[in-house]
Amino acid sequence: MELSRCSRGMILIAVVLAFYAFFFDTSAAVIASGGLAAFLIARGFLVVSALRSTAGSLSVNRSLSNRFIRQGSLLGVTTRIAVSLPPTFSLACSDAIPAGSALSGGNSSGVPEENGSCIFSYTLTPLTIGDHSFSGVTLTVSDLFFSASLIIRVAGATVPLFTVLPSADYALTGTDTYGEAESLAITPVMSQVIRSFRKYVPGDDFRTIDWKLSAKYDTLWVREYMGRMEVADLFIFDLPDAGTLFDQEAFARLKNTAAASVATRFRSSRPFSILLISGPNLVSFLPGEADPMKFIAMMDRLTPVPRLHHLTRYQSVAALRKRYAEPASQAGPFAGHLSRITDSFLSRRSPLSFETQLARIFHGIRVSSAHLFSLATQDQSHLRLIVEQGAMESMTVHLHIPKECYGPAVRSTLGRYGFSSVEVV
Amino acid sequence: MTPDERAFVMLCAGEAFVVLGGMVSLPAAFILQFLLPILIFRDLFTPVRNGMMLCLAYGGGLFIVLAAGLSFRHMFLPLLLLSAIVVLAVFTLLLGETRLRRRYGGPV
Repeated sequence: MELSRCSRGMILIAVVLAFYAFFFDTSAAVIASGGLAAFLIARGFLVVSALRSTAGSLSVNRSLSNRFIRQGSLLGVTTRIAVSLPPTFSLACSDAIPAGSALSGGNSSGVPEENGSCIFSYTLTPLTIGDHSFSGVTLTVSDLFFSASLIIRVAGATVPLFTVLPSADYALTGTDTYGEAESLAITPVMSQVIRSFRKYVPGDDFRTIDWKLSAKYDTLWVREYMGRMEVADLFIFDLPDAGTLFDQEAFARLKNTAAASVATRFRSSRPFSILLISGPNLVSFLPGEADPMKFIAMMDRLTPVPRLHHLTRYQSVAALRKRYAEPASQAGPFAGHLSRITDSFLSRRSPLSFETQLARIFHGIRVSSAHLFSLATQDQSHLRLIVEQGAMESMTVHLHIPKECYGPAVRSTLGRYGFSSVEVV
Repeated sequence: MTPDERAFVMLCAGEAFVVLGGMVSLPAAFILQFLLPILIFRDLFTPVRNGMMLCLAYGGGLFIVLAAGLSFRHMFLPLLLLSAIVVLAVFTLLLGETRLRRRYGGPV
């Protein structure tokens, strides 16, 4: 139970009056002090009583868009809550999301209407595989003096269960937490080995459907293969500028894609690194991260940030040298002047702090591939710098960009930067 | 000034009147102290059932305070007694809240 500002003030008055009564032997001050304490205590008991009756009248009806979903995909949740609240109190409800999931959109908390009902519609991104249940419903009863919260986890407030399936085929990446490792079966014909069969889930590749098994059981079954796949060791999130307008829907979709990619990476026992930037501004760097809780906390930080530094068609010294190398090498007075001019200013030009930071990070972690998630709005010079610095460390950079942001002009610009692949999400 | 702040200022002023009135007549101070929260926070007493319960609990508590104040010449013992009652009441409140959490908390 928490005290409000008003009740804290009343307690202060009661204490002052009690001291006054003690030092001056005034009965009236005792009555005033004790009266305030009696009033607050009586009201406190009523708040607890109201919380008890409200919790007893609670009914929760929760529905999911799908009971079986893929890791990192979106799960729609609609929760209908009905309570009866005694008068003179106010009530706030919130739906506690399951452990290992992140809130992607919508609102999971609110205030009931006059008739005591409220509906929450929101979307979750499950990050851990397996069966999950909801963490319950939180009720907060408050009045002018007190506020008391109660998490209700009794049956009915935590259902329904849902199952999160792995987002991709199983990878043979070292040992698990128990020290066990998967190995390919010894076979004269080397091919992908079937790990298991499971029921079809919308979104599965049709090529993985096992038609024989599906015909036998009259329902679609898909094969899950074992095989090696590339695992990214560095995730770079380019956050949009808080001071400019950007496509919110595209950014939300990019966040979901990033969450799914990182969630997939969590299945590997090897740690990976996360780099948050906003244009040419380094926001945060998590080297060698393997703690899911830190990742969930980091996902909450994927919000627009104000950019302190901006670039406009910036090119690094190496890029400029490469650009002017060919015309300056030709014969003639123009090439000679060009060579002198470029040499004079490029020799004195120091790299940006962003370039230095990237070089230090890439050199320190020494990874083979990185995934970059960006809206690529405004100037894209920082993306070019990432590719260039990555190339110096023999690192391939894969770009993920929303389709709204990948227009012809951006496509042409990014095409020259040398990304290993561009995925439009 | 918000309505809450105004109510709080009125309560402070009212308590000063209670103390001043108590120097003249203790029953008057008792009645004034009883009426003060009812007048200032009248919305809390408007619903019949809750208002009656709050009135009874508050009146009972105030009567104990008055009895303690009148029973002793010096105020040290009444204050000690009242402090013990307050501590006991706070523990009872916390116990009630903990029982609620255990009842509705379910398996974690």
